[in-house]
Amino acid sequence: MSGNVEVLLETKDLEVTYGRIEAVKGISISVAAGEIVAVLGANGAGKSSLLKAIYGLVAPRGGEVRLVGRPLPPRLAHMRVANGLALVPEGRQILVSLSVDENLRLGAYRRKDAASLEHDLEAIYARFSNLNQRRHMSASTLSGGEQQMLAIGRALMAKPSLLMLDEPSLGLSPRLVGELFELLRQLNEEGLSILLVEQNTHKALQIAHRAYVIELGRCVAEGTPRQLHEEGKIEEAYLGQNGAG
Amino acid sequence: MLEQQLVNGLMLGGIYVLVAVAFTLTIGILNFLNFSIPGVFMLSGIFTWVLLKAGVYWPLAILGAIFVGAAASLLVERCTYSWMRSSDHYVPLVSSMGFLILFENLVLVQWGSDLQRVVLPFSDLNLRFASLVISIPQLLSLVLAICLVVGLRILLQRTQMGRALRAVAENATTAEILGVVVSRLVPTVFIIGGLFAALGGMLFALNYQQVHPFMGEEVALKGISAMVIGGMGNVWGSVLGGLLIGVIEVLSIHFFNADFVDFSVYGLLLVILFLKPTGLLGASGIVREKF
Repeated sequence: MSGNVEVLLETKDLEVTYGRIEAVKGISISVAAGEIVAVLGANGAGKSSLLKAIYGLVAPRGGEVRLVGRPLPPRLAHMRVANGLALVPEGRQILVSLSVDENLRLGAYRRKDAASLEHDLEAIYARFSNLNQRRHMSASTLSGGEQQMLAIGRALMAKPSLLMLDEPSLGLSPRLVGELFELLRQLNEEGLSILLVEQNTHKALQIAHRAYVIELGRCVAEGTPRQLHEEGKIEEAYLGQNGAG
Repeated sequence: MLEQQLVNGLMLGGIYVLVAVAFTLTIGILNFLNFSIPGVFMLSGIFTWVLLKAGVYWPLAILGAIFVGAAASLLVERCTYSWMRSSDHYVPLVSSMGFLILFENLVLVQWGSDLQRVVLPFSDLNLRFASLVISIPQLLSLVLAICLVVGLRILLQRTQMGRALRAVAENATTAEILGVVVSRLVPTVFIIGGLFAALGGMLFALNYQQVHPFMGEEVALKGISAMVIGGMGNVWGSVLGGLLIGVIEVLSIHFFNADFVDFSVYGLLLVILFLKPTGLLGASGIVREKF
Protein backbone atom coordinates (compact mmCIF):
# COMPACT_ATOMS: atom_id res chain seq x y z
CA MET A 1 0.00 0.00 0.00
CA SER A 2 1.35 3.41 -0.88
CA GLY A 3 2.06 5.58 2.13
CA ASN A 4 -0.11 8.58 1.45
CA VAL A 5 -3.42 6.76 0.96
CA GLU A 6 -5.86 7.11 3.85
CA VAL A 7 -6.03 4.00 6.02
CA LEU A 8 -9.69 3.21 6.55
CA LEU A 9 -9.59 0.18 8.77
CA GLU A 10 -6.77 -1.50 10.62
CA THR A 11 -6.40 -4.20 13.21
CA LYS A 12 -3.40 -4.40 15.53
CA ASP A 13 -2.41 -7.78 16.98
CA LEU A 14 -6.04 -8.83 17.17
CA GLU A 15 -6.63 -11.99 19.23
CA VAL A 16 -9.85 -13.97 19.49
CA THR A 17 -10.36 -16.97 21.74
CA TYR A 18 -13.36 -19.21 22.27
CA GLY A 19 -12.85 -20.78 25.65
CA ARG A 20 -9.42 -22.38 25.36
CA ILE A 21 -9.38 -22.38 21.58
CA GLU A 22 -7.33 -19.59 20.06
CA ALA A 23 -8.96 -18.76 16.74
CA VAL A 24 -7.03 -15.58 15.96
CA LYS A 25 -3.51 -15.25 17.36
CA GLY A 26 -2.52 -11.67 16.79
CA ILE A 27 -3.45 -10.54 13.29
CA SER A 28 -2.71 -7.06 11.94
CA ILE A 29 -4.34 -6.06 8.68
CA SER A 30 -5.33 -2.80 7.08
CA VAL A 31 -7.70 -1.59 4.38
CA ALA A 32 -7.04 1.71 2.62
CA ALA A 33 -9.81 3.84 1.17
CA GLY A 34 -10.74 2.55 -2.28
CA GLU A 35 -9.12 -0.85 -1.87
CA ILE A 36 -10.42 -4.37 -2.22
CA VAL A 37 -8.59 -6.43 0.38
CA ALA A 38 -9.03 -10.19 0.52
CA VAL A 39 -8.43 -12.37 3.56
CA LEU A 40 -7.70 -15.87 2.31
CA GLY A 41 -7.20 -19.20 3.95
CA ALA A 42 -8.61 -22.65 4.46
CA ASN A 43 -11.70 -23.50 6.45
CA GLY A 44 -11.06 -22.92 10.16
CA ALA A 45 -8.04 -20.69 9.61
CA GLY A 46 -9.63 -17.91 11.66
CA LYS A 47 -10.84 -15.64 8.85
CA SER A 48 -14.43 -15.45 10.03
CA SER A 49 -13.39 -14.89 13.63
CA LEU A 50 -11.23 -11.99 12.49
CA LEU A 51 -14.17 -10.47 10.64
CA LYS A 52 -16.52 -10.99 13.58
CA ALA A 53 -14.07 -9.31 15.95
CA ILE A 54 -13.73 -6.34 13.59
CA TYR A 55 -17.51 -6.03 13.39
CA GLY A 56 -17.93 -6.36 17.15
CA LEU A 57 -19.81 -9.65 17.10
CA VAL A 58 -17.20 -11.27 19.32
CA ALA A 59 -15.03 -9.49 21.87
CA PRO A 60 -11.33 -9.74 21.03
CA ARG A 61 -9.11 -11.00 23.85
CA GLY A 62 -6.34 -8.66 22.82
CA GLY A 63 -5.33 -6.07 20.27
CA GLU A 64 -7.53 -3.40 18.77
CA VAL A 65 -9.54 -2.35 15.74
CA ARG A 66 -9.17 1.18 14.39
CA LEU A 67 -11.39 2.98 11.93
CA VAL A 68 -9.77 6.05 10.37
CA GLY A 69 -7.38 6.07 13.31
CA ARG A 70 -10.03 5.92 16.02
CA PRO A 71 -10.34 2.72 18.09
CA LEU A 72 -13.68 0.92 17.76
CA PRO A 73 -15.23 -0.43 20.95
CA PRO A 74 -15.17 -4.22 21.39
CA ARG A 75 -18.62 -5.78 20.90
CA LEU A 76 -21.43 -3.26 20.22
CA ALA A 77 -21.97 -4.60 16.70
CA HIS A 78 -25.03 -2.38 16.30
CA MET A 79 -22.77 0.69 16.31
CA ARG A 80 -20.66 -0.47 13.35
CA VAL A 81 -23.33 0.53 10.81
CA ALA A 82 -23.39 4.06 12.21
CA ASN A 83 -19.60 4.11 11.90
CA GLY A 84 -19.74 3.36 8.18
CA LEU A 85 -19.15 -0.39 8.17
CA ALA A 86 -21.60 -2.93 6.78
CA LEU A 87 -21.37 -6.69 6.97
CA VAL A 88 -22.72 -9.35 4.64
CA PRO A 89 -22.61 -12.24 7.11
CA GLU A 90 -21.70 -15.82 6.36
CA GLY A 91 -24.71 -17.70 5.02
CA ARG A 92 -26.28 -14.33 4.03
CA GLN A 93 -28.68 -14.31 7.03
CA ILE A 94 -31.64 -13.05 5.07
CA LEU A 95 -34.64 -12.42 7.32
CA VAL A 96 -37.09 -14.86 5.74
CA SER A 97 -40.09 -13.79 7.79
CA LEU A 98 -39.81 -10.33 6.23
CA SER A 99 -40.40 -9.23 2.64
CA VAL A 100 -37.60 -8.32 0.26
CA ASP A 101 -38.48 -4.64 0.65
CA GLU A 102 -38.47 -4.88 4.44
CA ASN A 103 -35.06 -6.55 4.42
CA LEU A 104 -33.66 -3.68 2.36
CA ARG A 105 -35.28 -1.03 4.54
CA LEU A 106 -33.84 -2.64 7.66
CA GLY A 107 -30.42 -2.21 6.10
CA ALA A 108 -31.00 1.54 6.45
CA TYR A 109 -32.17 1.19 10.05
CA ARG A 110 -29.68 3.71 11.41
CA ARG A 111 -30.11 6.28 8.64
CA LYS A 112 -32.05 9.44 9.34
CA ASP A 113 -32.28 10.80 5.77
CA ALA A 114 -35.70 9.50 4.73
CA ALA A 115 -35.74 11.23 1.34
CA SER A 116 -32.43 9.99 -0.04
CA LEU A 117 -33.21 6.60 1.49
CA GLU A 118 -36.08 6.09 -0.96
CA HIS A 119 -33.79 7.17 -3.78
CA ASP A 120 -31.13 4.65 -2.72
CA LEU A 121 -33.77 1.94 -2.43
CA GLU A 122 -34.80 2.53 -6.04
CA ALA A 123 -31.14 2.47 -7.07
CA ILE A 124 -30.77 -0.95 -5.44
CA TYR A 125 -33.86 -2.19 -7.27
CA ALA A 126 -32.50 -0.80 -10.52
CA ARG A 127 -29.25 -2.69 -9.97
CA PHE A 128 -30.93 -5.94 -8.93
CA SER A 129 -33.96 -6.35 -11.19
CA ASN A 130 -34.79 -9.78 -9.72
CA LEU A 131 -35.30 -8.16 -6.34
CA ASN A 132 -37.47 -5.48 -7.91
CA GLN A 133 -39.86 -8.11 -9.24
CA ARG A 134 -40.17 -9.68 -5.80
CA ARG A 135 -40.28 -6.51 -3.72
CA HIS A 136 -43.28 -7.45 -1.62
CA MET A 137 -42.78 -11.18 -1.55
CA SER A 138 -41.30 -13.02 1.39
CA ALA A 139 -37.51 -13.18 1.22
CA SER A 140 -37.86 -16.94 1.67
CA THR A 141 -39.04 -17.20 -1.95
CA LEU A 142 -35.66 -16.05 -3.32
CA SER A 143 -33.09 -18.39 -4.85
CA GLY A 144 -29.63 -18.65 -3.34
CA GLY A 145 -28.15 -16.16 -5.80
CA GLU A 146 -30.99 -13.70 -5.26
CA GLN A 147 -30.57 -14.02 -1.50
CA GLN A 148 -26.91 -13.08 -1.87
CA MET A 149 -27.94 -10.05 -3.93
CA LEU A 150 -30.44 -9.14 -1.22
CA ALA A 151 -27.80 -9.50 1.50
CA ILE A 152 -25.46 -7.20 -0.44
CA GLY A 153 -28.26 -4.76 -1.28
CA ARG A 154 -29.26 -4.67 2.36
CA ALA A 155 -25.69 -3.89 3.40
CA LEU A 156 -25.47 -1.17 0.73
CA MET A 157 -28.62 0.48 2.10
CA ALA A 158 -26.54 1.48 5.14
CA LYS A 159 -24.40 3.60 2.78
CA PRO A 160 -21.18 2.12 4.15
CA SER A 161 -17.69 3.35 3.40
CA LEU A 162 -16.38 -0.18 3.94
CA LEU A 163 -18.29 -3.28 2.89
CA MET A 164 -17.26 -6.48 4.66
CA LEU A 165 -18.24 -9.86 3.21
CA ASP A 166 -17.88 -13.25 4.90
CA GLU A 167 -17.55 -16.07 2.33
CA PRO A 168 -20.04 -14.56 -0.14
CA SER A 169 -19.36 -17.18 -2.82
CA LEU A 170 -20.27 -20.10 -0.58
CA GLY A 171 -23.04 -22.22 -2.08
CA LEU A 172 -23.27 -20.31 -5.35
CA SER A 173 -22.90 -21.85 -8.80
CA PRO A 174 -19.70 -20.93 -10.74
CA ARG A 175 -21.71 -18.60 -12.99
CA LEU A 176 -23.21 -16.78 -9.99
CA VAL A 177 -19.80 -16.57 -8.33
CA GLY A 178 -18.54 -14.85 -11.47
CA GLU A 179 -21.43 -12.37 -11.38
CA LEU A 180 -20.87 -11.77 -7.67
CA PHE A 181 -17.20 -10.86 -8.07
CA GLU A 182 -17.99 -8.69 -11.08
CA LEU A 183 -20.52 -6.85 -8.91
CA LEU A 184 -17.94 -6.34 -6.16
CA ARG A 185 -15.45 -4.99 -8.70
CA GLN A 186 -18.08 -2.54 -9.99
CA LEU A 187 -18.99 -1.38 -6.49
CA ASN A 188 -15.32 -0.79 -5.80
CA GLU A 189 -14.96 1.26 -8.97
CA GLU A 190 -17.85 3.37 -7.73
CA GLY A 191 -15.73 4.17 -4.68
CA LEU A 192 -16.64 1.51 -2.12
CA SER A 193 -13.84 -0.08 -0.10
CA ILE A 194 -14.22 -3.81 0.37
CA LEU A 195 -12.88 -6.34 2.87
CA LEU A 196 -13.51 -9.80 1.52
CA VAL A 197 -13.06 -13.04 3.44
CA GLU A 198 -12.95 -15.93 0.99
CA GLN A 199 -12.00 -19.54 0.53
CA ASN A 200 -12.28 -19.12 -3.22
CA THR A 201 -8.71 -17.83 -3.50
CA HIS A 202 -8.56 -17.86 -7.28
CA LYS A 203 -11.62 -15.65 -7.76
CA ALA A 204 -10.80 -13.35 -4.86
CA LEU A 205 -7.30 -12.63 -6.19
CA GLN A 206 -8.75 -11.63 -9.56
CA ILE A 207 -10.40 -8.58 -8.03
CA ALA A 208 -8.36 -7.89 -4.86
CA HIS A 209 -5.72 -5.17 -4.76
CA ARG A 210 -4.04 -6.81 -1.81
CA ALA A 211 -4.54 -10.00 0.16
CA TYR A 212 -3.63 -11.57 3.46
CA VAL A 213 -3.18 -15.31 3.81
CA ILE A 214 -4.31 -16.69 7.18
CA GLU A 215 -3.25 -20.06 8.53
CA LEU A 216 -4.16 -21.42 11.96
CA GLY A 217 -4.95 -17.97 13.31
CA ARG A 218 -1.79 -16.28 12.05
CA CYS A 219 -1.11 -14.16 9.02
CA VAL A 220 1.49 -16.07 7.00
CA ALA A 221 1.69 -13.86 3.92
CA GLU A 222 0.52 -10.55 2.56
CA GLY A 223 0.89 -8.51 -0.56
CA THR A 224 -0.55 -7.86 -3.98
CA PRO A 225 -1.87 -10.88 -5.91
CA ARG A 226 1.24 -10.77 -8.09
CA GLN A 227 3.61 -10.75 -5.10
CA LEU A 228 1.76 -13.65 -3.49
CA HIS A 229 1.90 -15.68 -6.70
CA GLU A 230 5.59 -15.00 -7.15
CA GLU A 231 6.41 -15.99 -3.60
CA GLY A 232 4.41 -19.20 -4.06
CA LYS A 233 2.30 -18.41 -1.02
CA ILE A 234 -0.97 -18.91 -2.82
CA GLU A 235 -0.29 -22.54 -3.62
CA GLU A 236 0.05 -23.17 0.09
CA ALA A 237 -3.22 -21.43 0.84
CA TYR A 238 -4.87 -23.45 -1.91
CA LEU A 239 -4.00 -26.73 -0.27
CA GLY A 240 -7.01 -26.80 2.00
CA GLN A 241 -9.32 -26.08 -0.87
CA ASN A 242 -7.85 -27.79 -3.92
CA GLY A 243 -9.77 -31.05 -3.77
CA ALA A 244 -13.12 -29.34 -3.51
CA GLY A 245 -12.31 -27.16 -6.51
CA MET B 1 -80.99 -15.98 27.10
CA LEU B 2 -78.39 -17.15 24.64
CA GLU B 3 -77.67 -13.86 22.86
CA GLN B 4 -76.94 -12.16 26.15
CA GLN B 5 -74.54 -14.98 27.11
CA LEU B 6 -72.74 -14.67 23.77
CA VAL B 7 -72.31 -10.95 24.36
CA ASN B 8 -71.01 -11.56 27.87
CA GLY B 9 -68.64 -14.20 26.55
CA LEU B 10 -67.18 -11.89 23.92
CA MET B 11 -66.66 -9.17 26.53
CA LEU B 12 -64.90 -11.60 28.87
CA GLY B 13 -62.94 -12.81 25.88
CA GLY B 14 -61.67 -9.26 25.33
CA ILE B 15 -59.77 -9.50 28.61
CA TYR B 16 -58.31 -12.89 27.68
CA VAL B 17 -57.28 -11.38 24.34
CA LEU B 18 -55.26 -8.67 26.10
CA VAL B 19 -53.47 -11.22 28.30
CA ALA B 20 -52.91 -13.62 25.39
CA VAL B 21 -51.37 -10.87 23.26
CA ALA B 22 -49.07 -9.92 26.14
CA PHE B 23 -47.81 -13.51 26.25
CA THR B 24 -47.60 -13.75 22.46
CA LEU B 25 -45.40 -10.67 22.23
CA THR B 26 -42.70 -11.86 24.59
CA ILE B 27 -42.73 -15.43 23.37
CA GLY B 28 -42.82 -14.36 19.72
CA ILE B 29 -40.06 -11.78 19.90
CA LEU B 30 -37.90 -12.88 22.81
CA ASN B 31 -38.72 -16.59 22.75
CA PHE B 32 -39.52 -16.88 26.42
CA LEU B 33 -42.71 -17.39 28.40
CA ASN B 34 -42.99 -14.32 30.64
CA PHE B 35 -44.57 -15.56 33.86
CA SER B 36 -44.64 -12.11 35.39
CA ILE B 37 -47.60 -11.16 33.14
CA PRO B 38 -50.23 -12.47 35.61
CA GLY B 39 -48.45 -10.42 38.29
CA VAL B 40 -48.66 -7.28 36.16
CA PHE B 41 -52.35 -8.04 35.47
CA MET B 42 -53.03 -8.41 39.22
CA LEU B 43 -51.05 -5.30 40.23
CA SER B 44 -53.03 -3.18 37.81
CA GLY B 45 -56.32 -4.62 39.12
CA ILE B 46 -55.30 -4.09 42.75
CA PHE B 47 -54.20 -0.51 42.10
CA THR B 48 -57.49 0.23 40.34
CA TRP B 49 -59.17 -0.75 43.60
CA VAL B 50 -56.62 1.04 45.84
CA LEU B 51 -56.75 4.30 43.92
CA LEU B 52 -60.54 4.33 43.57
CA LYS B 53 -60.91 3.58 47.28
CA ALA B 54 -58.54 6.45 48.07
CA GLY B 55 -60.95 8.72 46.23
CA VAL B 56 -58.74 9.44 43.22
CA TYR B 57 -60.72 10.85 40.28
CA TRP B 58 -61.53 7.73 38.24
CA PRO B 59 -59.79 8.53 34.93
CA LEU B 60 -56.61 9.23 36.90
CA ALA B 61 -57.08 6.06 38.93
CA ILE B 62 -57.36 4.02 35.73
CA LEU B 63 -54.27 5.62 34.20
CA GLY B 64 -52.38 5.22 37.48
CA ALA B 65 -53.21 1.51 37.64
CA ILE B 66 -52.04 0.97 34.05
CA PHE B 67 -48.87 2.92 34.76
CA VAL B 68 -48.09 0.74 37.81
CA GLY B 69 -48.52 -2.38 35.67
CA ALA B 70 -46.28 -1.15 32.84
CA ALA B 71 -43.66 0.02 35.35
CA ALA B 72 -43.72 -3.38 37.07
CA SER B 73 -43.16 -5.04 33.69
CA LEU B 74 -40.18 -2.78 33.00
CA LEU B 75 -38.81 -3.58 36.46
CA VAL B 76 -38.93 -7.30 35.61
CA GLU B 77 -36.96 -6.62 32.43
CA ARG B 78 -34.37 -4.45 34.22
CA CYS B 79 -33.87 -6.96 37.03
CA THR B 80 -34.04 -10.25 35.15
CA TYR B 81 -34.02 -10.28 31.40
CA SER B 82 -31.41 -7.61 30.77
CA TRP B 83 -28.97 -9.45 33.08
CA MET B 84 -29.71 -12.97 32.07
CA ARG B 85 -30.29 -12.74 28.37
CA SER B 86 -27.06 -14.50 27.54
CA SER B 87 -27.72 -17.34 29.97
CA ASP B 88 -29.82 -20.43 29.36
CA HIS B 89 -33.42 -20.04 28.32
CA TYR B 90 -34.95 -21.25 31.56
CA VAL B 91 -33.22 -18.58 33.66
CA PRO B 92 -35.38 -15.61 32.55
CA LEU B 93 -38.41 -17.90 32.66
CA VAL B 94 -37.78 -18.94 36.27
CA SER B 95 -36.87 -15.43 37.38
CA SER B 96 -40.05 -14.02 35.82
CA MET B 97 -41.96 -16.64 37.81
CA GLY B 98 -40.09 -15.40 40.89
CA PHE B 99 -41.39 -11.92 40.19
CA LEU B 100 -44.96 -13.22 39.95
CA ILE B 101 -44.62 -14.73 43.44
CA LEU B 102 -42.93 -11.58 44.72
CA PHE B 103 -45.69 -9.30 43.40
CA GLU B 104 -48.43 -11.54 44.78
CA ASN B 105 -46.89 -11.71 48.21
CA LEU B 106 -46.13 -7.99 48.41
CA VAL B 107 -49.83 -7.36 47.75
CA LEU B 108 -50.73 -10.10 50.24
CA VAL B 109 -48.59 -8.48 52.96
CA GLN B 110 -49.93 -5.02 52.24
CA TRP B 111 -53.64 -5.66 51.70
CA GLY B 112 -54.29 -9.24 52.80
CA SER B 113 -55.67 -12.15 50.80
CA ASP B 114 -59.36 -11.22 50.98
CA LEU B 115 -61.47 -10.66 47.93
CA GLN B 116 -61.81 -6.88 47.75
CA ARG B 117 -64.86 -5.22 46.29
CA VAL B 118 -64.27 -2.49 43.74
CA VAL B 119 -66.85 0.25 44.13
CA LEU B 120 -67.41 1.90 40.78
CA PRO B 121 -67.41 5.69 40.74
CA PHE B 122 -70.08 5.71 38.07
CA SER B 123 -73.44 4.01 38.48
CA ASP B 124 -75.34 1.89 35.99
CA LEU B 125 -73.58 2.44 32.71
CA ASN B 126 -75.53 0.05 30.61
CA LEU B 127 -76.53 0.15 27.00
CA ARG B 128 -79.76 -1.62 26.15
CA PHE B 129 -80.64 -3.00 22.73
CA ALA B 130 -84.07 -4.62 22.90
CA SER B 131 -83.52 -7.29 25.51
CA LEU B 132 -79.69 -7.18 25.36
CA VAL B 133 -77.85 -5.45 28.19
CA ILE B 134 -74.26 -4.37 27.54
CA SER B 135 -72.30 -2.67 30.29
CA ILE B 136 -70.06 0.09 29.05
CA PRO B 137 -66.88 -1.13 30.81
CA GLN B 138 -67.46 -4.53 29.21
CA LEU B 139 -67.99 -3.06 25.80
CA LEU B 140 -64.94 -0.90 26.34
CA SER B 141 -62.75 -3.91 27.12
CA LEU B 142 -63.72 -5.63 23.89
CA VAL B 143 -63.40 -2.52 21.73
CA LEU B 144 -60.12 -1.54 23.38
CA ALA B 145 -58.71 -5.04 22.98
CA ILE B 146 -59.51 -5.09 19.26
CA CYS B 147 -58.24 -1.54 18.71
CA LEU B 148 -55.00 -2.24 20.54
CA VAL B 149 -54.39 -5.39 18.55
CA VAL B 150 -54.99 -3.50 15.30
CA GLY B 151 -52.59 -0.80 16.54
CA LEU B 152 -50.01 -3.42 17.45
CA ARG B 153 -50.33 -5.00 14.02
CA ILE B 154 -49.74 -1.63 12.36
CA LEU B 155 -46.74 -1.01 14.61
CA LEU B 156 -45.26 -4.41 13.78
CA GLN B 157 -46.00 -4.38 10.04
CA ARG B 158 -45.70 -0.76 8.95
CA THR B 159 -43.06 0.95 11.07
CA GLN B 160 -39.29 0.73 11.11
CA MET B 161 -39.47 -0.23 14.79
CA GLY B 162 -41.90 -3.04 13.97
CA ARG B 163 -39.57 -4.34 11.27
CA ALA B 164 -36.74 -4.25 13.80
CA LEU B 165 -38.85 -6.16 16.33
CA ARG B 166 -39.68 -8.81 13.76
CA ALA B 167 -36.02 -9.00 12.78
CA VAL B 168 -35.09 -9.58 16.43
CA ALA B 169 -37.82 -12.24 16.60
CA GLU B 170 -36.25 -14.11 13.70
CA ASN B 171 -32.56 -13.62 14.41
CA ALA B 172 -31.24 -11.20 17.03
CA THR B 173 -27.64 -11.35 15.74
CA THR B 174 -28.66 -10.41 12.21
CA ALA B 175 -30.75 -7.56 13.60
CA GLU B 176 -27.70 -6.34 15.52
CA ILE B 177 -25.54 -6.52 12.38
CA LEU B 178 -28.03 -4.20 10.68
CA GLY B 179 -27.74 -1.68 13.51
CA VAL B 180 -30.73 -2.62 15.64
CA VAL B 181 -29.97 -1.95 19.30
CA VAL B 182 -31.47 -5.13 20.68
CA SER B 183 -30.85 -4.11 24.30
CA ARG B 184 -32.99 -1.02 23.75
CA LEU B 185 -35.84 -2.83 21.98
CA VAL B 186 -36.24 -5.49 24.66
CA PRO B 187 -37.52 -3.03 27.32
CA THR B 188 -39.99 -1.75 24.72
CA VAL B 189 -41.35 -5.27 24.27
CA PHE B 190 -41.79 -5.57 28.03
CA ILE B 191 -43.52 -2.20 28.28
CA ILE B 192 -45.94 -2.96 25.42
CA GLY B 193 -46.65 -6.42 26.86
CA GLY B 194 -47.03 -4.85 30.32
CA LEU B 195 -49.51 -2.31 28.96
CA PHE B 196 -51.67 -5.05 27.47
CA ALA B 197 -51.64 -7.09 30.70
CA ALA B 198 -52.23 -4.00 32.87
CA LEU B 199 -55.14 -2.90 30.73
CA GLY B 200 -56.61 -6.38 31.10
CA GLY B 201 -56.25 -6.24 34.90
CA MET B 202 -57.78 -2.78 35.14
CA LEU B 203 -60.75 -3.76 32.95
CA PHE B 204 -61.21 -6.97 34.93
CA ALA B 205 -61.41 -4.94 38.15
CA LEU B 206 -64.01 -2.60 36.64
CA ASN B 207 -66.07 -5.34 35.00
CA TYR B 208 -66.20 -7.91 37.76
CA GLN B 209 -65.73 -5.44 40.61
CA GLN B 210 -63.54 -7.71 42.65
CA VAL B 211 -59.78 -8.08 43.06
CA HIS B 212 -57.44 -10.31 45.07
CA PRO B 213 -53.71 -11.06 45.08
CA PHE B 214 -53.99 -14.21 42.97
CA MET B 215 -56.50 -12.95 40.42
CA GLY B 216 -53.85 -13.05 37.69
CA GLU B 217 -53.16 -16.76 37.74
CA GLU B 218 -56.45 -18.13 36.47
CA VAL B 219 -56.73 -15.45 33.81
CA ALA B 220 -53.14 -16.08 32.74
CA LEU B 221 -53.79 -19.80 32.27
CA LYS B 222 -56.73 -18.90 30.04
CA GLY B 223 -54.56 -16.33 28.24
CA ILE B 224 -51.83 -18.89 27.57
CA SER B 225 -54.49 -21.35 26.38
CA ALA B 226 -55.91 -18.66 24.10
CA MET B 227 -52.44 -18.10 22.64
CA VAL B 228 -51.90 -21.82 22.05
CA ILE B 229 -55.39 -22.37 20.61
CA GLY B 230 -54.94 -19.46 18.21
CA GLY B 231 -51.39 -20.39 17.20
CA MET B 232 -48.19 -19.37 18.97
CA GLY B 233 -46.68 -16.08 17.89
CA ASN B 234 -49.72 -15.03 15.86
CA VAL B 235 -51.45 -11.91 17.20
CA TRP B 236 -54.74 -12.61 15.38
CA GLY B 237 -54.60 -16.16 16.71
CA SER B 238 -54.52 -14.74 20.23
CA VAL B 239 -57.57 -12.63 19.44
CA LEU B 240 -59.48 -15.61 18.07
CA GLY B 241 -58.40 -17.86 20.94
CA GLY B 242 -59.26 -15.27 23.60
CA LEU B 243 -62.75 -14.62 22.26
CA LEU B 244 -63.37 -18.34 21.79
CA ILE B 245 -62.41 -19.12 25.39
CA GLY B 246 -64.55 -16.26 26.69
CA VAL B 247 -67.62 -17.50 24.82
CA ILE B 248 -67.05 -21.16 25.75
CA GLU B 249 -66.62 -20.24 29.40
CA VAL B 250 -69.87 -18.29 29.54
CA LEU B 251 -71.80 -20.89 27.54
CA SER B 252 -70.55 -23.67 29.84
CA ILE B 253 -72.01 -21.80 32.79
CA HIS B 254 -75.22 -21.19 30.87
CA PHE B 255 -75.81 -24.77 29.75
CA PHE B 256 -74.20 -26.67 32.61
CA ASN B 257 -72.73 -24.93 35.64
CA ALA B 258 -69.63 -23.08 36.82
CA ASP B 259 -67.83 -26.33 37.69
CA PHE B 260 -67.90 -27.21 34.02
CA VAL B 261 -65.87 -24.19 32.85
CA ASP B 262 -62.35 -25.61 33.19
CA PHE B 263 -63.45 -28.90 31.70
CA SER B 264 -64.75 -27.24 28.52
CA VAL B 265 -61.96 -24.66 28.14
CA TYR B 266 -59.04 -27.05 28.60
CA GLY B 267 -60.94 -29.80 26.82
CA LEU B 268 -61.18 -27.50 23.81
CA LEU B 269 -57.44 -26.79 24.13
CA LEU B 270 -56.66 -30.51 24.02
CA VAL B 271 -59.00 -31.19 21.10
CA ILE B 272 -57.52 -28.34 19.05
CA LEU B 273 -53.96 -29.35 19.84
CA PHE B 274 -54.85 -32.88 18.79
CA LEU B 275 -56.48 -31.82 15.50
CA LYS B 276 -54.14 -28.93 14.64
CA PRO B 277 -51.00 -28.88 16.81
CA THR B 278 -49.93 -25.47 15.49
CA GLY B 279 -53.17 -23.84 16.67
CA LEU B 280 -56.01 -22.44 14.59
CA LEU B 281 -54.03 -19.72 12.78
CA GLY B 282 -50.54 -21.10 13.34
CA ALA B 283 -48.37 -21.69 10.28
CA SER B 284 -47.21 -25.22 9.82
CA GLY B 285 -44.38 -24.72 7.33
CA ILE B 286 -40.71 -24.34 8.13
CA VAL B 287 -40.83 -20.63 7.44
CA ARG B 288 -43.06 -19.01 10.00
CA GLU B 289 -44.21 -15.49 9.43
CA LYS B 290 -44.68 -14.14 12.88
CA PHE B 291 -47.42 -11.73 13.95
